[in-house]
Amino acid sequence: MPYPEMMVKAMRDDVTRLGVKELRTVEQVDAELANPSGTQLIFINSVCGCAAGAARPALAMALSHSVVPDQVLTVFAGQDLDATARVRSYVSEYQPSSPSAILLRDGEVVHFVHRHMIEGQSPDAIAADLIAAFDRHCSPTMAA
Amino acid sequence: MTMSEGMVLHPERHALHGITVIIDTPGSVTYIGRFDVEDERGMHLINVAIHDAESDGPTEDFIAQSRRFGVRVTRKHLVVPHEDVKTIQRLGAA
Repeated sequence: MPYPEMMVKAMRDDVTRLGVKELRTVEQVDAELANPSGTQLIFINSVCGCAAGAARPALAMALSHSVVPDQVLTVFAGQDLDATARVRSYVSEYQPSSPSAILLRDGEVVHFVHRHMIEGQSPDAIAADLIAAFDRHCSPTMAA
Repeated sequence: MTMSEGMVLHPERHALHGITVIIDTPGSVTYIGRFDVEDERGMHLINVAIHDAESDGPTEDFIAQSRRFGVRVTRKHLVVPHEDVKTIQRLGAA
């Protein structure tokens, strides 16, 4: 059951203030993922303090890198249930995981940061993993 | 509330609380799940995948698949008795 919106607003804001586009409906998800091109990072936000409390600042660090995905999107697991399920339907070979981060290139998963890769890690370590994936899969010339 | 860097909502819990672990048993069964608490009954895992090497194939493959594709949850909650815990390690560990 979703938490009261007032409890999660700051967690949404932590991500959207980075310029990340939040998707809250199935229609919004389809509009971004149905006809993909280039690189897209999808950050699955979560209330969990242990993992998400490190993942959000890690995302901020990673997005300050010189090479970033063409598009950065987010959904909030446990809150925007339909939108999150829709995102997961696009990567259905992977098990649900939140928080997590999925890097797509032309709609194909090229890097998946599962919750178990976030747990117990520092924001710096998580960011380093994301940055390495950006450098490997994203084009500097297409960086925002 | 501002950016929740390093925020922990339940610092009084076990050191492994919230961490996805692999529990190997003396037999052929291996569990992967998120560690919740430990009490007199054993170790409580939530969102658990269960693997029996005798019927499901090599445990190494189960662990590798879980690391790559995530944990295929079949049980919401499971208690592993202390005597059944041979080793416990983080799934995310190298």
